[in-house]
Order: sequence, then structure tokens, then C-alpha cells
Amino acid sequence: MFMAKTINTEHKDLIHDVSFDFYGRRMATCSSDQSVKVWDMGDDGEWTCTCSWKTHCGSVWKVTWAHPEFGQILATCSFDRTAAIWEEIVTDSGHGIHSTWIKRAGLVDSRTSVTDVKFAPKLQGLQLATCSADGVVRIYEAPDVMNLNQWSLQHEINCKVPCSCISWNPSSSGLHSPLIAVGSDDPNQSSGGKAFIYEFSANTRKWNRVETLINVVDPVHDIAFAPNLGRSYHLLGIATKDVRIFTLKPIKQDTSQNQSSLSSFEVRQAGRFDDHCSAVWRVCWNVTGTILASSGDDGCVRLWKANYLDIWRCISTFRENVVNVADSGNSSNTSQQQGASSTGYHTARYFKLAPTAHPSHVPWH
Amino acid sequence: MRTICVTQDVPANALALSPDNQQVVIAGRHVFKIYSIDEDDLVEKTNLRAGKNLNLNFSCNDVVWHPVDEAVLATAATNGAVVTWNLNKMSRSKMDCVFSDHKRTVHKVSFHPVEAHLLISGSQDGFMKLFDLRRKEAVSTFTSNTESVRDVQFNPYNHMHFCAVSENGNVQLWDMRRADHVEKQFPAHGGPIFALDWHPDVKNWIATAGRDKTIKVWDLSELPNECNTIQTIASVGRVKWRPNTKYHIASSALLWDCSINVWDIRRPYIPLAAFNEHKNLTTCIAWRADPNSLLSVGKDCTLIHHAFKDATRPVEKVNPAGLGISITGRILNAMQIKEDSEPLGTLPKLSMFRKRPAVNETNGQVLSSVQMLVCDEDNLLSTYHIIQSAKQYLLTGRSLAEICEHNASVAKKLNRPQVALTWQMLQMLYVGVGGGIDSLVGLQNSSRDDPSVQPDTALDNDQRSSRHYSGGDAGGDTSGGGFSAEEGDTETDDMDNHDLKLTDIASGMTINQDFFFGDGEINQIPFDYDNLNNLDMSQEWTLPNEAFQPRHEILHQSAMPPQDFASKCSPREIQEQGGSSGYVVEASSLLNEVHGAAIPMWKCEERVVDMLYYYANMGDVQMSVTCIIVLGDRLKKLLDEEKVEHWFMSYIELLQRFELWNVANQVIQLATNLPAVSQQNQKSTSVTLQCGRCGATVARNSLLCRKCACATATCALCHGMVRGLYVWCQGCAHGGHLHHIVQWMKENKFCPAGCGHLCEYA
Repeated sequence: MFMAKTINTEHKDLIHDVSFDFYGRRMATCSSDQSVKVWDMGDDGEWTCTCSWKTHCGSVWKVTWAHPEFGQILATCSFDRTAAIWEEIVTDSGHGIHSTWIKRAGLVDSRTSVTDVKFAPKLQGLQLATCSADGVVRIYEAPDVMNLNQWSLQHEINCKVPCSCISWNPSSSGLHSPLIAVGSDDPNQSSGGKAFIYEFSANTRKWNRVETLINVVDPVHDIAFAPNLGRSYHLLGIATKDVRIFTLKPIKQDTSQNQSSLSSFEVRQAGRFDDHCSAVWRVCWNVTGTILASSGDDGCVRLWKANYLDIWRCISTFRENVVNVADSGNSSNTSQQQGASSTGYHTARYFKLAPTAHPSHVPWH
Repeated sequence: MRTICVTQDVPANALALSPDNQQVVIAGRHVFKIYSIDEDDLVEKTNLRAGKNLNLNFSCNDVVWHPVDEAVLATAATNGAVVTWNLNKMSRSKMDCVFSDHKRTVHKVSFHPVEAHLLISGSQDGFMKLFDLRRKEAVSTFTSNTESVRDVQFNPYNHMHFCAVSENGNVQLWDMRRADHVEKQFPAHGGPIFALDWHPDVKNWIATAGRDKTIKVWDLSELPNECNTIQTIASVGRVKWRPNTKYHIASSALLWDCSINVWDIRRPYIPLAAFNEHKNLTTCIAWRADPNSLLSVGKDCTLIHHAFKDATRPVEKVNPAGLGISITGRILNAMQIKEDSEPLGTLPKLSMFRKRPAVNETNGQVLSSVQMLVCDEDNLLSTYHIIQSAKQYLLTGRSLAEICEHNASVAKKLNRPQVALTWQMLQMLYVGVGGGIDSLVGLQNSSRDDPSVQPDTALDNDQRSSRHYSGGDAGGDTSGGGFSAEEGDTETDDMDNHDLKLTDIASGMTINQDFFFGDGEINQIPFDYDNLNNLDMSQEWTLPNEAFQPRHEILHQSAMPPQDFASKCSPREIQEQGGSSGYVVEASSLLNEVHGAAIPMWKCEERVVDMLYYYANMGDVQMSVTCIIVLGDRLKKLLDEEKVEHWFMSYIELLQRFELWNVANQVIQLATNLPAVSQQNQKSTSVTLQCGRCGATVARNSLLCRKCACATATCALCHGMVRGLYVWCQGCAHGGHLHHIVQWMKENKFCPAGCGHLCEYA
């Protein structure tokens, strides 16, 4: 069973992204109201907003946490064509601990809206990838992890189509060279595949396109590599007009050949589901990469899992119950009440779990 | 209507529409032309930049069309002249009248909406001048007391008043009749204001825009009241209210944003529509008295007639949802609050209708609701089992049999029968095959040597023996299920009940094991598969024949059919057929038997390696790593070291995410064969010390600072030198003996050294 709690974020416009930190104890939300809020989980499991500040001059599309090894660092990207790096400064004024987030750097290379920003896996150092609506993926690096003010633009990859989302392959193994998946929201179906895989070649020190998922022709809204955790293949979730799951199996090559040539993948579409009956906006993996969550325009969140034969199925569906929707419709008067109770939650509601098709589809854990 | 674009040679600074909206004039430093607006074309009609001497009077900052007379135009020239033009003039040059009252460049000219012979100008010199076209002179001068007036406009509802904005960020309201003082004045922007526009329908609303990248809407009815602020991404050069709408306003930027945005002031964060046709900055915009028709000129030398339907809609393209899963399995879901609430499973057709809640009908705000879905411990998304397994699994320190058994029981308690089963199989395979006697001895030793283990096992045994009996009953009952499993597993791959079978088998397994463990004969279980068959026969239990190995087969779909195993066992079955009514009695003799022969005839290592890969691919790297650690060198040759390293690294990172540092460190320590992993806790382990007094770096292992020649680590409480454990506050660098500081901090908050610092010891 899931228990649902509504968090009153007091954002003044749409929330475009939510992000948990490495340990799942903090989260950040970003909104079109140009602000980012950071939430901390108390010992009682309640979330309180510890900082809220204006980050950009436009809608903030994405917010993401760096690995805590580098400090408490957030990156945001915005419609105002910039991405920004923020670091938390905790001060103890005697009345309690205050956290303030200081802008360490603004990345202003893009000439159009920066649509996504993601930190690289820890092993690759403090690297950041951004993608923008003009189709350029930029990789930045802070050469000195102690100096967050300096970010150098390492690579520019021109994807030639408007980019909407980006994802690093989180594999921490030396077996896999760094991979980036890029999705495009180009509405033109005839322009071919909308999801690309780029690989970093350590020899040429360049990013090269190694794969195009040609059967994804609709605009891609979100793309996510699953946490690898020792798998021999990579899992990629894609939110387009439906939910897609791909497996990318590296094809073994001779180590001698490997020096020069690009690695290739055996790409298989493991699942394609249009249960949302509408555009799918977001996909997200759990920590072990076994369950994919998707959020669609129908207002539902669905969870997907593979059974032991590697057949993916929907295992549960959540939807805001009808009462709740009606309630939040006249948000003008409820928001005042919510405003009065400035703490995070105002109600707790219970969700009905849609019955799983067959309980037996879920073998274990 | 469609979007039309015409290109000239030079950029224009301004444009103005004729009173009937059928013609447009564009003006710039080197261009001054009139175009007629046709249904699908813009046709050049007149080039006003004609005549013998094209002086600076032709170089325009602004142009305005007479509100009544289609033949009269006025321009603001860069040299400070205000020029009127009469199109009805017969000569080539249509220039009518030049007012050279301003000393510096004129930014803006504006006709009076009713008394159309009045023209007002705003200039860089800080003055506004009202010209009377009949008298051909400036009738009054308004002194703004600012550096520069950027825009000036008459109030469409109160004809005596006009509004001016200036570079110091102030808005001024003037009464035309009183040139001596400002009616009202208020600071509006933190920087120069570049544009202003009176709302065409709502009385006393103005919009101002400036270099601080904002557009502000003011209600001037009483005290100037800021209604809305739109934060844009660049300095705003022009604003124009969209006709026939109350809340829409178009803006163009002065810097680096080439598009024209139309905003809904109630939703000030995302443009309602954007025209992206211009390749360079837009210099001027004008609505053609029609909410769907906008004209603009830009630095890219184009004049564009935009159709509203061709605009992009950023509002509709934005991603309205956020989704996150925390490592503990919380789902955070943010999505747009929709006005309607249709039941689940709406047809796609219907969802098209309700695609966008019409912004006009609501109060314009679009909000997201955020929900945190918190799952129970036994939920699929929960990572409770990973954490608990990590904490409770034994990795080393006992015999293999004991570790396997312990880990199996951990898995069982966490309701993971398959994992439990795997542990039991490992126990049987390895203890049974290789280390039978070793483990027997080891186990006895360990239970003797380690008293702490003793009560635990005793308790377990009690529990087991009690379960023995209930298990016996249950065994009888569930026998049918067990049997069906046996039938099903090789023939059918029906997935729907396959998992059920697995659990059945697992439960059957549990029962068996309890039997064997029943009376403290732990050591013997591994050898007993034959006995099991026996037992089953004699007691008419229908537990599956292949109670042990075939689990393995099913899981890994190995080629080895269960029958093989059964046939191997059969001789002994026959042998033992007679006297196995009580297995406890039989136990010792069985032990001997098994020592002789019951070694599986196949290489179980490969299967085990397959199993490790299987678990890793299923996302359960914990199982793979734990098995490798527990089995130690037994699998060494068969495993790909890079893969194993990958598993270890993944598992260690997972443990670190769960903040299970001790377990993570244990895993690192036990990864002895993997240098890349075991080096992990040898990285960044050095601590540099600096002298608290002079800041000089203290040499290794030295207690004295060379520079100031005294002890570096003195206790703040006893003032003695500290050897061994030294704790200090990272804020003020004072510290001392651990026990002294602990004692002090129990009662005090402040630093014992008296520096006044509120010390923190984490």
C-alpha cells in the first residue's frame, strides 16, 4: 500500500521538476515562478522547506543534485538561456541553523532555453551536461572541485534537433565508457529518431553518436538511464507519447579493436505501453533500476516492472482521487488556508492501489 | 491571414499604423517607407526618404501616424528635431515642418488622441515639449528633471493627462495644462524605463518596461499600485497591450532575445505566445487593432506581419509534471492541477478536448499539486529489504554452512523466499560437496568458542523443532501443491503460475529444512537429500523428488532435467527403503552413507556463476556480491574480474547511499582479490595538521610546532599535552582530551578555551 501526502509547495506556477538528493533526505522543486525550493526531511518523515529563492529570470525547467562528495550543490536550468550552479551555505546565527544557497556560476553559453541539466556520475568528477532547445549538448567541468566558480566548457555536441532531456549512464564501472542519452521534442515526425546515445571516447576525447533509437519518432519528453548496479546491459526509459523501455547491450569487442572503434550496442525495445492514453511527461527509475515510474498527462503515475522472463508489466497505478481534484480546483480559497498553515502538509489522503493484473507477476522484492 | 515577411536593406527603428490600419510606416536611420497591408502581402507604396538633401532630419527614432488625418505623420529624429510630414504634398519631399526645440535626440513622439493637432515629444535632454501643429511651434515645455525621457503617451481616458517614463526609473504623470509641476511621480523600476503603454480598455492601467528585465502593470486610479510584474529574460524595449483582451500584453526585448512574447499578466512567468520569426532583435511592435494581427520591425531589416495562430505557445510546450523516486522508495509526483476530473481510463478523444484548461476562464493561475507517495515496508518499491539484508547478512567469520543458514533465515524473515532458497542451495552445494567435515568441525568449534552464538542457535533450534510439527501437518496438506510443481516445471513455462510454484516450492523447502534441523542435527542436513526421498516415500509424503537441485534448474533454466538427479538417487532410495520411519535415528548412518557417495556429478560452480549473473541482471547486486564474498575463492576462476569489480563498486555505492558505512567498509575490506575495490578505503586518508597558533604545517607525527617551538595539541581544560585521541572543534580549533571535552560539553555550550565560540562536536 502506498500512503499519499499532499505537500503544499506554495509555488506560484507549474512545478517542472522534483529531485531527491543522493540519500533521499532532501529534495528540490523548481517551478515556472523562477524559484527553487529545497526541502528537508525531518526525523518524523515530514518535509519542511528550508530554503526558497529566486534562481532565474525565466521558468526553471530542471533542478538536480550533485553527488554529496562535492558538497551540497544544485544545478538549475531555465528558459532564460542559462544554467546555474548553487551551493548551500549553512550559518548558525544562534537562533537556529539557516541555509542559504549561493550562486557559484552561471553557464551562459546557450542562445536558447536550456532544457535540461544533469551531473555526471561521481567517477567522472564534477561534470555537468546541459542541453538546449537549439540542439546543443554542452559538457562542463569544474577542474578544481573546491572552486565551484570556475566551470570550463569541455565539449559541445550538436544534435541538430531541439533537445528536451538528457541522461547520463550512471554505471560506475570501468567496463562502460561514459554514455549520454539525449531526447528531442522536435514535433516533426519525419525527422527520424528522437533519442540518441552519445559515447565518450577516451582516445579521441570526443563525444560521438553511437546509436539513434529510430523507432522513437514522437517528441521525447523525458529520458532516463536506470541505475546500472552491475547489470550486463543498460536500461533506458523514455517518455514520449507512450512509455518505452529499451535495453542496450554492449556488444563485446576485441580489446585490440576497441582502441579505435566505437562501441556498439544491441538495442532492443523491451516494452512499449500506451496505458496513459496521452502524452507521458516523465519517467523515473527506482534505486535498483528494477521499477520504472511514469507520469502522464492523464494525471496518473504508473509503475512498471519486468517479470523473470523480462516482460515488462504495469504493476500499479495511482491517481489523485476525484475529491482531491475537485478540491484543488478552487485553489484560490484553499491556498489561503494552506498559506496559514505554513508547514508542508495539510492533509493526508489514502490512495487506492489499482489492482495489479496478477499478483504473481511480481515474483519477489 | 498568414505571417508575411518583407526584407529591406537597412533596419528600421519604429513603425506606425495608419488610422484605418491599412497602411504601415516604418522609419529608421536610413529608411522611411510606407507599406500597404494586403491580405497576404505587404506592398511598398511610398518611399518618404526622397528629396535632394537627405539630412539628419530623415533619420528617425520614432514615427507616429496622425490619429485622424491619414496624410499626416510625425517623426522623432536622432538630431533632436521633431518633423511632420504631409503625404498630400505635391513635391517629392513630403517634409512639412521641422521643430528643432530639443537639444538632443528625441526618443518618442505621440499625438493627442482627441485634439489631434497636439503632438508631444520626449527627448534625451530630459524635456517634453507639446507642439501645436497649427501654430507650428512648441506651446509648452515640461521639465522632467531627469536625464532622459524615453517614452511619453497621452491617457486615452483622460485627455488632459499624459504619462512619461524616464531613464532614472521614474514614472511621471503630467497634466497637460500645468507645465510647471508633476502631478504624480513614483519610482517604478530599478533602472531605466524604456517603454510604457496605457491599457486601451481598462482605465488607468499602464504597463512599463525597463532594463531590469521586468514589465510592470500599474493601476493609477489612486495611489500607484503595482498589479503585476512580469519577469522576462532580457531588457524590455517595447510593450503593447493586445487589443480586445484584458490581460494580454506583447513585449520585445532590447538585448539578445529576438522573439516577441505575448504574456498573460496573470501568469507572469511563461509567455502565452511567442513570435520567433525575427533573426535579430525586434525594434518595434504594433497591434493592428486586432488581437490576431501584429506588425513588427527588427534589426534583421525585416518588417513582419504576424498571425497570432502562427505563434509558438510556450505555455503548451512546457513539461507540466515532475517525478522522483527516492532511494527509500518514496515517489514524489508533481503535476498540473486540472480543472476537470474525469474518471480513470478516459478515451484519448476526450482527453483531446480537455487538453488545456482555458486560461481565460479561470483566474489565470496554473498550479501544480505535489504528492509524496510513501510506501510500506513490504512494497515493491521499498528498499527496506536491502537495508535489512545488508545489516543482517553475515559475510564472514563463521563457517560457510552457518553463514548460508543465517543468511537464508534473514531472507526468509524479509519475505524473500527465492533468495532464502538460493542461500540454502549454496549451503547444500558447497558444504555438501567440498567442506563437509571442515564445516562440521568448524561449526562445532565456533559454537564452542563463541558463547554468544550459543543461545541464539538454541533459540533457533527451539523454534525449528516447534515448527517441525506444524510443518509436518502442513506438509501433508500442501503435498498436492508440491506435486503440481513437480509436474509443471519441465513441461510448461506458464508464467502465470510459475511464480506461485516457486513460492510453493520455497515453502515446501522450508518445511523440509525444519525437519532436518529439528533436533539440533544441523551438521547433517547437507548430506541428506537422499534421505529426504526416502522419508517421503515411507511417510507417504508427496514432497517433490527433486526437492533440492531442480530449484536450481528452474531458476536458471539449466539443461539438467530433474529426472537425472532422481535416477542418481534411486539406488540409495531402494537401499534405504526399509527402515526410515524416523530420520533422527537414521541420521548417523546416513551421514556415513553420504560421505561415501552423495557428491553431485556435475559442476555446480558454473550454475552458481550463472546465478550470480542472473541476480545482478535482476538488479539484486547485493545477492551477487554477498555470495561472492561468502563463497570466497571457490568461484574465483570462473568469474570475470572486471564484472565482479563492477558489482562490488555498485554495491558499495548502494550501501553508501543507504548510509550503511560500516557494511560498505566491511565489503571493501573483504574484496581482497579486487585491488581497485580494496583501495577504496585507502584513498584520502591523510590528515594534515596545522599549528593552532601560527598556522604552520606540523611535520608528520610531531607534537611540536617547529615555528613556535611549543606543543601543538594542548588540552584547553588541563593545559597538558594531548597524546592519542585529540578532539577539537572545527569552528574555533580549540580542543583537548576526549574525556575532558566530553565532560565539559555536558554542562557547557561554549568553548572551554574561553574564545566565546559555540562549539560543535559532531
